[in-house]
Amino acid sequence: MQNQQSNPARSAQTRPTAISSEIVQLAGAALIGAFVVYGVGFSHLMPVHNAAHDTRHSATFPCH
Amino acid sequence: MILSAVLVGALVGALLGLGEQFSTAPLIAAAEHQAEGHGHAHGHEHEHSAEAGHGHHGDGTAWAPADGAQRIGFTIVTNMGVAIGFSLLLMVAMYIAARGRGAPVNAATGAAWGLAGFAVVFVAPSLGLPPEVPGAASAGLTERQLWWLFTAAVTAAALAIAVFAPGWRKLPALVLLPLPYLFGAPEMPASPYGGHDAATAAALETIHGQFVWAAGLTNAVFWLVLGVACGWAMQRWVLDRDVIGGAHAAG
Repeated sequence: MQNQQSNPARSAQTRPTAISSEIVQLAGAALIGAFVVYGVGFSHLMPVHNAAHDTRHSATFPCH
Repeated sequence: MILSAVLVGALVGALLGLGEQFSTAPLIAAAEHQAEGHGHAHGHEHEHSAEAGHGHHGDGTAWAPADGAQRIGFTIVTNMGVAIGFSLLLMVAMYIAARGRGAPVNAATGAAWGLAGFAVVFVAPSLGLPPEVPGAASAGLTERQLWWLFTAAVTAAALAIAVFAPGWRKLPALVLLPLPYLFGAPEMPASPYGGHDAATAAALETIHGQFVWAAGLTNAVFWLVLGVACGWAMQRWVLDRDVIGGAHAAG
């Protein structure tokens, strides 16, 4: 994820922290997204399965 | 980004949940009616109370929403959950593409992202594990879930390489795409409706044929709308001027 555009507003000192905090935020967002989809679509807990049953079938997640 | 993904996902997911009430849900209910009316699928005593309508797994004591408003409500809420999750993943991918490759992010490119999501999450897994209706026997659940996740991940990687890698470096996509099918989906029983009598099996098969189309169309529309909404929201709320400016300059 290298910024190919030269940006004089960003100094050499601030860029690494800016980029790493960006990566942390992106990874966090992706993890939350994956966790939510997994919870609704793949959890084996019966009450969760029953609540999400029609959703799982419609989204063609393996259900039964 | 998280806030806008939640907003977009909640809205599109709610629409999807409502849409399913007219497309896939009636077919699921019809299949359950067939399967439970003849009651062989899971070998349990079927109760006739509304409460037990589709809690047709396990020991029968697990909580399940009552048929009607409660079931529809939970379907809508869980659809919102799935849509929020997919929005987050889609927006992260859009962000990385914009930042790293200068890919423009807006409603129009969002449509392409949505179609890619449809290919990854619906088309690719469905080629090995067709959409299922209740009452159909199948391979082990965990094996199918793992194969589903593996296929979606490999297809997503292949599409990303095919679109964003330069020149000959696109080639690995050709190796990745067929990989899940060479590896093989979990083996299905020869006749998924073998546990039912002939009339029930025939009815389930008819319902299944309709269900595949209903699910395919519903999911295609869902992903298209989700992609457009995510692209629009990303452009409007998330990407700072740096990234957008770079995107237009590069693209």
